[in-house]
Amino acid sequence: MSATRLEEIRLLALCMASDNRRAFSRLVEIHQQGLRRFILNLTSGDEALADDLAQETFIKAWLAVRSFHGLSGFKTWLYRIAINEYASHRRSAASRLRNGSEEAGNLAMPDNASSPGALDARIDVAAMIKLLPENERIVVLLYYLEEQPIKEIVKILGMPEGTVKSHLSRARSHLKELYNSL
Amino acid sequence: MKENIYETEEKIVDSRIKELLAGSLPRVNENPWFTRRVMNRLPERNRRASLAIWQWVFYALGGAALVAGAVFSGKLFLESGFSFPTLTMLLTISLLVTICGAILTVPSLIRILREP
Repeated sequence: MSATRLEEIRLLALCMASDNRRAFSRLVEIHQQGLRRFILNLTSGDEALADDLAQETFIKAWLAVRSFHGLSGFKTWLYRIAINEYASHRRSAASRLRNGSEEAGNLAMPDNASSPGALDARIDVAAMIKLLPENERIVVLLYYLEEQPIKEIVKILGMPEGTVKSHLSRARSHLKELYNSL
Repeated sequence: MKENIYETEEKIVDSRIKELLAGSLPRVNENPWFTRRVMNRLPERNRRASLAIWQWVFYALGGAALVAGAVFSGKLFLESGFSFPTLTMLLTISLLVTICGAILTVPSLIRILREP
Protein backbone atom coordinates (compact mmCIF):
# COMPACT_ATOMS: atom_id res chain seq x y z
CA MET A 1 0.00 0.00 0.00
CA SER A 2 1.49 3.35 -0.94
CA ALA A 3 0.57 6.97 -0.43
CA THR A 4 1.73 10.21 -1.89
CA ARG A 5 4.06 12.38 0.17
CA LEU A 6 1.28 14.95 0.37
CA GLU A 7 -1.20 12.45 1.82
CA GLU A 8 1.39 11.33 4.36
CA ILE A 9 1.97 14.93 5.47
CA ARG A 10 -1.81 15.45 5.78
CA LEU A 11 -2.17 12.29 7.88
CA LEU A 12 0.76 13.27 10.11
CA ALA A 13 -0.68 16.75 10.59
CA LEU A 14 -4.01 15.21 11.68
CA CYS A 15 -2.21 12.94 14.17
CA MET A 16 -0.22 15.84 15.61
CA ALA A 17 -3.00 18.40 15.74
CA SER A 18 -5.95 16.33 16.93
CA ASP A 19 -4.66 12.87 17.95
CA ASN A 20 -6.59 11.52 14.99
CA ARG A 21 -6.56 7.72 15.36
CA ARG A 22 -8.07 7.11 11.95
CA ALA A 23 -5.23 9.04 10.30
CA PHE A 24 -2.67 7.06 12.30
CA SER A 25 -4.39 3.81 11.37
CA ARG A 26 -3.96 4.76 7.71
CA LEU A 27 -0.25 5.46 8.33
CA VAL A 28 0.08 2.00 9.92
CA GLU A 29 -1.65 0.47 6.89
CA ILE A 30 0.76 2.22 4.54
CA HIS A 31 3.97 1.27 6.34
CA GLN A 32 3.25 -2.01 8.14
CA GLN A 33 4.14 -4.41 5.32
CA GLY A 34 7.59 -2.95 4.66
CA LEU A 35 8.40 -2.49 8.33
CA ARG A 36 7.32 -6.04 9.25
CA ARG A 37 9.41 -7.47 6.39
CA PHE A 38 12.46 -5.49 7.54
CA ILE A 39 12.09 -6.59 11.18
CA LEU A 40 11.35 -10.17 10.15
CA ASN A 41 14.73 -10.33 8.39
CA LEU A 42 16.39 -8.54 11.28
CA THR A 43 15.08 -11.22 13.66
CA SER A 44 16.17 -14.00 11.26
CA GLY A 45 12.63 -15.04 10.40
CA ASP A 46 10.95 -15.01 13.83
CA GLU A 47 7.50 -13.89 12.70
CA ALA A 48 5.90 -13.53 16.15
CA LEU A 49 8.81 -11.46 17.45
CA ALA A 50 8.84 -9.36 14.28
CA ASP A 51 5.13 -8.56 14.68
CA ASP A 52 5.61 -7.68 18.36
CA LEU A 53 8.51 -5.35 17.58
CA ALA A 54 6.60 -3.78 14.69
CA GLN A 55 3.64 -3.13 17.00
CA GLU A 56 5.92 -1.57 19.61
CA THR A 57 7.48 0.59 16.90
CA PHE A 58 4.10 1.97 15.82
CA ILE A 59 3.06 2.60 19.44
CA LYS A 60 6.31 4.51 20.10
CA ALA A 61 5.74 6.47 16.89
CA TRP A 62 2.20 7.38 18.02
CA LEU A 63 3.45 8.57 21.41
CA ALA A 64 6.26 10.60 19.89
CA VAL A 65 4.53 11.82 16.75
CA ARG A 66 4.50 15.42 18.00
CA SER A 67 8.27 15.38 18.23
CA PHE A 68 8.51 14.47 14.54
CA HIS A 69 9.35 17.67 12.68
CA GLY A 70 9.63 16.26 9.18
CA LEU A 71 13.36 16.85 8.77
CA SER A 72 13.55 13.27 7.51
CA GLY A 73 10.85 11.13 5.94
CA PHE A 74 8.31 9.42 8.19
CA LYS A 75 9.53 6.01 6.95
CA THR A 76 13.13 6.88 7.88
CA TRP A 77 11.98 7.95 11.34
CA LEU A 78 9.92 4.77 11.72
CA TYR A 79 12.84 2.52 10.73
CA ARG A 80 15.06 4.29 13.23
CA ILE A 81 12.54 3.60 16.00
CA ALA A 82 12.34 -0.04 14.84
CA ILE A 83 16.13 -0.46 15.03
CA ASN A 84 16.14 1.04 18.53
CA GLU A 85 13.34 -1.34 19.55
CA TYR A 86 15.27 -4.29 18.13
CA ALA A 87 18.46 -3.20 19.93
CA SER A 88 16.54 -2.88 23.17
CA HIS A 89 15.03 -6.36 22.67
CA ARG A 90 18.52 -7.79 22.05
CA ARG A 91 19.84 -6.16 25.20
CA SER A 92 17.07 -7.55 27.38
CA ALA A 93 17.36 -11.00 25.73
CA ALA A 94 21.12 -11.00 26.36
CA SER A 95 20.55 -9.96 29.96
CA ARG A 96 17.99 -12.78 30.46
CA LEU A 97 20.53 -15.15 28.95
CA ARG A 98 23.21 -14.00 31.37
CA ASN A 99 20.78 -14.60 34.21
CA GLY A 100 20.32 -18.14 32.97
CA SER A 101 16.57 -17.80 32.45
CA GLU A 102 16.70 -18.69 28.79
CA GLU A 103 18.09 -21.53 26.73
CA ALA A 104 21.60 -20.68 25.59
CA GLY A 105 20.83 -21.75 22.05
CA ASN A 106 18.31 -18.99 21.41
CA LEU A 107 20.86 -16.31 20.68
CA ALA A 108 23.71 -18.52 19.56
CA MET A 109 24.67 -19.01 15.95
CA PRO A 110 23.04 -21.98 14.30
CA ASP A 111 25.10 -25.16 14.11
CA ASN A 112 24.53 -25.42 10.40
CA ALA A 113 26.26 -22.07 9.81
CA SER A 114 29.65 -23.74 10.14
CA SER A 115 29.05 -26.12 7.23
CA PRO A 116 27.28 -24.12 4.55
CA GLY A 117 28.26 -26.51 1.81
CA ALA A 118 26.03 -29.21 3.24
CA LEU A 119 22.89 -27.12 3.12
CA ASP A 120 20.71 -25.78 0.38
CA ALA A 121 21.24 -22.25 -0.89
CA ARG A 122 18.25 -20.82 0.91
CA ILE A 123 19.50 -21.84 4.34
CA ASP A 124 23.04 -20.75 3.42
CA VAL A 125 21.94 -17.21 2.62
CA ALA A 126 19.80 -16.91 5.75
CA ALA A 127 22.65 -18.30 7.86
CA MET A 128 25.16 -16.01 6.15
CA ILE A 129 23.01 -12.98 6.87
CA LYS A 130 22.66 -14.11 10.47
CA LEU A 131 26.43 -14.51 10.75
CA LEU A 132 27.13 -10.94 9.63
CA PRO A 133 27.95 -8.49 12.42
CA GLU A 134 24.83 -6.60 13.58
CA ASN A 135 25.61 -3.29 11.84
CA GLU A 136 26.58 -4.98 8.57
CA ARG A 137 23.38 -7.04 8.67
CA ILE A 138 21.21 -3.95 9.17
CA VAL A 139 22.99 -2.09 6.36
CA VAL A 140 22.61 -5.11 4.03
CA LEU A 141 18.89 -5.42 4.75
CA LEU A 142 18.27 -1.70 4.29
CA TYR A 143 20.35 -1.44 1.12
CA TYR A 144 19.56 -4.65 -0.73
CA LEU A 145 16.15 -5.66 0.57
CA GLU A 146 14.51 -2.34 1.40
CA GLU A 147 16.40 -0.62 -1.44
CA GLN A 148 17.13 2.43 0.69
CA PRO A 149 19.78 4.80 -0.68
CA ILE A 150 22.98 5.30 1.34
CA LYS A 151 21.85 8.80 2.41
CA GLU A 152 18.66 7.41 3.98
CA ILE A 153 20.62 4.62 5.72
CA VAL A 154 22.89 7.29 7.17
CA LYS A 155 19.81 9.03 8.62
CA ILE A 156 18.25 5.81 9.90
CA LEU A 157 21.38 4.57 11.65
CA GLY A 158 22.76 7.97 12.63
CA MET A 159 26.19 6.89 11.41
CA PRO A 160 28.66 8.81 9.21
CA GLU A 161 28.35 8.05 5.49
CA GLY A 162 31.87 6.58 5.40
CA THR A 163 31.01 4.08 8.15
CA VAL A 164 27.86 2.96 6.33
CA LYS A 165 29.83 2.56 3.09
CA SER A 166 32.52 0.54 4.82
CA HIS A 167 29.91 -1.76 6.46
CA LEU A 168 28.33 -2.23 3.05
CA SER A 169 31.65 -2.93 1.37
CA ARG A 170 32.61 -5.57 3.96
CA ALA A 171 29.20 -7.21 3.73
CA ARG A 172 29.38 -7.13 -0.07
CA SER A 173 32.63 -9.08 -0.09
CA HIS A 174 31.23 -11.61 2.42
CA LEU A 175 28.13 -12.14 0.31
CA LYS A 176 30.15 -12.24 -2.90
CA GLU A 177 32.16 -15.13 -1.47
CA LEU A 178 28.89 -16.86 -0.65
CA TYR A 179 27.31 -16.62 -4.06
CA ASN A 180 30.56 -17.62 -5.74
CA SER A 181 30.47 -20.80 -3.67
CA LEU A 182 26.89 -21.61 -4.69
CA MET B 1 38.44 4.11 -16.84
CA LYS B 2 39.59 1.78 -14.05
CA GLU B 3 37.04 3.43 -11.75
CA ASN B 4 34.24 2.80 -14.29
CA ILE B 5 35.13 -0.89 -14.50
CA TYR B 6 35.13 -1.08 -10.71
CA GLU B 7 31.71 0.63 -10.51
CA THR B 8 30.23 -1.67 -13.16
CA GLU B 9 31.53 -4.73 -11.36
CA GLU B 10 30.08 -3.40 -8.11
CA LYS B 11 26.69 -2.95 -9.79
CA ILE B 12 26.76 -6.52 -11.12
CA VAL B 13 27.67 -7.85 -7.66
CA ASP B 14 24.90 -5.73 -6.12
CA SER B 15 22.25 -6.98 -8.52
CA ARG B 16 23.32 -10.61 -7.94
CA ILE B 17 23.19 -10.12 -4.17
CA LYS B 18 19.74 -8.50 -4.50
CA GLU B 19 18.48 -11.50 -6.48
CA LEU B 20 20.04 -13.92 -4.01
CA LEU B 21 18.51 -12.20 -1.00
CA ALA B 22 15.11 -11.64 -2.58
CA GLY B 23 14.85 -15.33 -3.39
CA SER B 24 16.22 -16.64 -0.11
CA LEU B 25 15.17 -14.49 2.81
CA PRO B 26 11.84 -15.10 4.58
CA ARG B 27 8.86 -13.24 3.20
CA VAL B 28 6.33 -11.54 5.39
CA ASN B 29 2.84 -13.04 5.38
CA GLU B 30 -0.22 -10.86 4.95
CA ASN B 31 -1.62 -10.08 8.38
CA PRO B 32 -5.07 -8.47 8.05
CA TRP B 33 -5.28 -8.06 11.86
CA PHE B 34 -2.01 -6.23 12.31
CA THR B 35 -3.35 -2.68 12.01
CA ARG B 36 -6.33 -3.46 14.25
CA ARG B 37 -4.01 -4.94 16.90
CA VAL B 38 -1.81 -1.83 16.82
CA MET B 39 -4.84 0.46 17.08
CA ASN B 40 -6.21 -1.56 20.02
CA ARG B 41 -2.91 -1.25 21.82
CA LEU B 42 -2.51 2.50 21.30
CA PRO B 43 -2.52 4.29 24.65
CA GLU B 44 -5.56 6.38 25.53
CA ARG B 45 -5.50 10.06 24.82
CA ASN B 46 -5.23 10.86 28.54
CA ARG B 47 -1.56 9.94 28.65
CA ARG B 48 -0.76 12.42 25.91
CA ALA B 49 -3.26 14.97 27.23
CA SER B 50 -1.60 14.90 30.67
CA LEU B 51 1.63 15.98 29.03
CA ALA B 52 -0.20 18.88 27.42
CA ILE B 53 -1.79 19.84 30.78
CA TRP B 54 1.65 19.80 32.38
CA GLN B 55 2.86 22.20 29.67
CA TRP B 56 -0.20 24.41 30.01
CA VAL B 57 0.37 24.74 33.78
CA PHE B 58 3.86 26.06 33.10
CA TYR B 59 2.58 28.44 30.42
CA ALA B 60 -0.11 29.73 32.81
CA LEU B 61 2.35 30.19 35.69
CA GLY B 62 4.83 31.98 33.40
CA GLY B 63 2.06 34.23 32.00
CA ALA B 64 0.70 35.06 35.47
CA ALA B 65 4.21 35.94 36.71
CA LEU B 66 4.76 38.24 33.74
CA VAL B 67 1.40 40.01 34.17
CA ALA B 68 2.02 40.46 37.89
CA GLY B 69 5.49 41.84 37.17
CA ALA B 70 4.16 44.25 34.53
CA VAL B 71 1.37 45.53 36.83
CA PHE B 72 3.79 46.00 39.72
CA SER B 73 6.40 47.81 37.60
CA GLY B 74 3.69 49.98 35.98
CA LYS B 75 2.46 50.99 39.41
CA LEU B 76 6.02 51.69 40.53
CA PHE B 77 6.63 53.76 37.37
CA LEU B 78 3.51 55.86 38.00
CA GLU B 79 4.45 56.43 41.62
CA SER B 80 8.15 57.22 41.32
CA GLY B 81 8.64 58.13 37.63
CA PHE B 82 11.68 57.09 35.61
CA SER B 83 14.12 56.11 38.35
CA PHE B 84 16.63 53.48 39.32
CA PRO B 85 14.03 51.10 40.87
CA THR B 86 11.80 51.24 37.73
CA LEU B 87 14.78 50.61 35.47
CA THR B 88 15.80 47.68 37.67
CA MET B 89 12.26 46.34 37.49
CA LEU B 90 12.20 46.62 33.66
CA LEU B 91 15.54 44.83 33.50
CA THR B 92 14.29 42.09 35.83
CA ILE B 93 11.13 41.58 33.75
CA SER B 94 13.17 41.43 30.51
CA LEU B 95 15.46 38.87 32.11
CA LEU B 96 12.46 36.88 33.33
CA VAL B 97 10.93 36.89 29.82
CA THR B 98 14.22 35.65 28.33
CA ILE B 99 14.57 32.86 30.91
CA CYS B 100 10.91 31.78 30.53
CA GLY B 101 11.28 31.81 26.73
CA ALA B 102 14.45 29.70 26.95
CA ILE B 103 12.79 27.21 29.33
CA LEU B 104 9.88 26.78 26.93
CA THR B 105 11.86 26.60 23.69
CA VAL B 106 15.07 24.74 24.62
CA PRO B 107 13.38 21.29 25.03
CA SER B 108 11.74 21.68 21.59
CA LEU B 109 15.06 22.71 20.05
CA ILE B 110 16.81 19.68 21.58
CA ARG B 111 14.03 17.42 20.22
CA ILE B 112 14.45 18.90 16.72
CA LEU B 113 18.23 18.43 16.81
CA ARG B 114 17.94 14.82 18.05
CA GLU B 115 15.40 13.87 15.40
CA PRO B 116 16.83 11.57 12.69
